[in-house]
Amino acid sequence: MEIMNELLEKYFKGETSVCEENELKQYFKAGNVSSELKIYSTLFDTFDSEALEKAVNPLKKLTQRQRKPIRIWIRSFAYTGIAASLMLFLFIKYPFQVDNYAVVSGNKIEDTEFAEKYVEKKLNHVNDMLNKSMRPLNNSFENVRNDLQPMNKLINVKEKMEKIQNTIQIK
Amino acid sequence: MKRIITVVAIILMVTAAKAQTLQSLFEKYSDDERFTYVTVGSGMMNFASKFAGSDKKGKEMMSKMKSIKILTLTDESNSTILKSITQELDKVVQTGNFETAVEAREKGERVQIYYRLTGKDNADMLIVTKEKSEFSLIWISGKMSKEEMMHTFSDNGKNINLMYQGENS
Repeated sequence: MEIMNELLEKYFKGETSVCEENELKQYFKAGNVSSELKIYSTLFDTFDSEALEKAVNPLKKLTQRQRKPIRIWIRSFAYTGIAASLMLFLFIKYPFQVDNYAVVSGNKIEDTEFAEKYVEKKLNHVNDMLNKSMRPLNNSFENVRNDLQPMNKLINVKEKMEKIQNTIQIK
Repeated sequence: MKRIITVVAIILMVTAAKAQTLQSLFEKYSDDERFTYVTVGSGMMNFASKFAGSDKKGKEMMSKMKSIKILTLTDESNSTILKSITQELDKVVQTGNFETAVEAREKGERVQIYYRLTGKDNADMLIVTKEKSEFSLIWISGKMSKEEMMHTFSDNGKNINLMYQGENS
């Protein structure tokens, strides 16, 4: 009885050996369990019943798929073919385009100079338009600036005032 | 669950594809016979010397430009096409996070300049000009700030610079 108590104590501490655990299992399996230790018998019964349980869906053995030997050159040939056809498709759909060109009345003119001159003309035109429409604004800015010029004198007055204050403090 | 995600993804992709961008607007009308379409991409440096003249800053800025695209409608009688492109443009400006930089009007002439940042260093400037007989869209994209974009017109158009000085002070 005392031995069993000691074994159980060791068991719950996780210090028992396999032999000792088997001894405990056999003790509880035999059925002559003392009333003090009966509370543990259910625990050991469950372990036994769980050990007898079988999986409903037996696990399948995982085996590595056996690959069919494919000749590398056939594969590489296929991939190259796919890549080439893709390139061809892209080239047909989006041919190399010249960056500078113009389309006038549906006719494409691939002339860099013409395109540049057109852009230059347009930008200058926008410039002129802005100049024209912003002239009144420009004038008003100028007027405001001219009107604010006397304010610059105030800065001199402030400086002079500070100088006077400093000299008074020194005295 | 997977199906729902796939369906949602497809719907999003379709709506994104349907939404008109500035690029798609230019592409749509570039092949239209009623429009004149001009694009300048590479070789901007040659162009820079022509437009910016001797000004170093101007040259620098022009070299920062990646591309300039211009779409012009010259047929004044064709008001339906003008109406539809204007409506489409309004949508693009609204959905494309453009902010109005300049808006000027004088005697039937109208200039609107929109600006937006498209990346860390990239920006787009869209200039819309409306005149009695002409409607133009100018799309400039490059690596430059708003002020730098505006300097494009500062050589001759000192007014814009003045305006920005006024804003900054």
